[in-house]
Amino acid sequence: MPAIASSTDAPVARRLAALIEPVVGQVYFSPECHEGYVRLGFNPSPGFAGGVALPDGPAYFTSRGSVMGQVPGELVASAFAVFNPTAVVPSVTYGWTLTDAPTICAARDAGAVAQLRRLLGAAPAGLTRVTELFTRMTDTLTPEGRPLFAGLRSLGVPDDPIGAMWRHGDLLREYRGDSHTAAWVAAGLDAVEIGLLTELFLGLPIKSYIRTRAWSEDQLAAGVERLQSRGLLGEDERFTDAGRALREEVELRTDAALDRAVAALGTDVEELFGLLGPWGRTVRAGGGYLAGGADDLARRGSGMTADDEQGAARD
Amino acid sequence: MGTLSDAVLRERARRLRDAVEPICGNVYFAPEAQAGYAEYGLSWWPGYFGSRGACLGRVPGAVVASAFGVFNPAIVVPAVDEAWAKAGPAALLSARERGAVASLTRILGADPPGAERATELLRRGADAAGFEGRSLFAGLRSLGWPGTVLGDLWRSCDLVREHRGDTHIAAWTAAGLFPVEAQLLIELWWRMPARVYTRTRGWSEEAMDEGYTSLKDKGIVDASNEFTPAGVSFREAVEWATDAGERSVLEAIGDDFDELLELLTPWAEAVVAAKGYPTDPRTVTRI
Repeated sequence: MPAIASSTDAPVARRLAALIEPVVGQVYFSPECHEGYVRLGFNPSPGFAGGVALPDGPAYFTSRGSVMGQVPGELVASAFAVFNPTAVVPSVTYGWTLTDAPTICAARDAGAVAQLRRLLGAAPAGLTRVTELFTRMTDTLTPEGRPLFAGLRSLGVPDDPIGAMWRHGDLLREYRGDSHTAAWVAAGLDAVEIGLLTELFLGLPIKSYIRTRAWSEDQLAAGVERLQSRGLLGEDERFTDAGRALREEVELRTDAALDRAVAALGTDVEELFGLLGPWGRTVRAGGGYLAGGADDLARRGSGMTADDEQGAARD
Repeated sequence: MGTLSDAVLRERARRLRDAVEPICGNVYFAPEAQAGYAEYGLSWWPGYFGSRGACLGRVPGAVVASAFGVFNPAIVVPAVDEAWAKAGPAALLSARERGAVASLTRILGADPPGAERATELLRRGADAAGFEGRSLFAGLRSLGWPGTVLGDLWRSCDLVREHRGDTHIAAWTAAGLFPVEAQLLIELWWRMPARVYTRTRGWSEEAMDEGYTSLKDKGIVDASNEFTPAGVSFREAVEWATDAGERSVLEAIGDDFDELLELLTPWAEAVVAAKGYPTDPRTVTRI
């Protein structure tokens, strides 16, 4: 989940991530996707957050993982990185009993495009230009250490004009996500630790959003303790100066991974942002993406136990 | 299990790296493994990319390139396509394991004393490590265990090796390096002749020229393509970030570390002596 950065003072790469997120990440909340996965045998959406349909766990892990091919759940866990593997691995193993990678990947593409067409219309203003600018950026990116980006890159680009835009946007989103994982791994953090630090970074209560990632109470408590022993969290479970600095450094390194793409965009930044902004607002207004992003899931997470979440992911 | 100081972690992580490398890396130089790939009509490169990448599943070549990190995708992708077309991941995983075990059996004997204990300690380390951001480690973890003394020793060494390798890719990508740059810096770090090793990773002279130019712009190498003082610090920081990513492994091995190294070291030396691995890593790496 890219950090939310609406301020125009934020680095261009971070603003780009925030503007792309609803337009691309809507795939995970698309009723058309959920229906497509139900046709393959997955369960329907388990419920709503702020009027937005949440994905079935196994369908989510299997569909997003399928961009890499028919891979073991362990690889999906490594690539998604922030989820408890005990939720991911059985979900993917189960998913492959229902479908195969090309089939669910096609359902993913179709459902994402269908929701965008429903919410934005068949020919949203500026579509060709956005695709052109996205492509200019993705052409600069290479796969080293970026498994989800590499998988998406190998899929090719849909013929449908909305699908083409969506694919390039997803490439940018996953490239940033893969780069972010590398940045926090290189900072010596594990999945629980980065989850906790990210909550504070986003201004969320600690141990709220991370519950949607299926960690147990004990695992979260142990993570807090490790961060405290490293001097990154205080006894009050708030950032120390060192903790805030480390988390910001991770985000800056993530931004820096997009330097080539941002350079390729050049002076067309504001034009692109001007086109994407209204699309994102329309997608959110239509219930295609969480109004507040991580905040909505955090509110939901804080009302559920990790066991509930694991159960939801398994069921 | 306890908390290791940074200094101890750094030293142990590097000594463990040097000790497991010849034992698991032997598979890349084993005639028995090459013969297995050749049965499917695969020459060295398709055999290498296919057999090492097979733990990921039948993934596109670009995903193998992402996991291997330093190779030019232009040589990875066609090799993987060929490996899947002629053999497929399951057949190559099997040939890889058979070749590794046959070669180690020839060099070390079928049941070297202490092998089960070494496996137990390495496995304790691997079991303590997470999957996050580590493609090859995760792929290996999905395979289960060969179930023979040498097979399990080999797998446990490979797990520890690939975990470190995956962490290392995260470290150099997060440090803003591109593959050709990371590869040119390995040559400097290991005091190898310039360009020779990097060429084997599929990079052209032009790509290496551009890599050196970029490293100069960053102040990492000087006009003669040698490390600047800041460049040495930069590369050491990448290696330390890699070491730090192995904390969970090393802390789980804990106080049994010296016992483990005493077991692994003679085997590693025997593999090198039998020309089953090209160089004793201790003679080129930096502790």
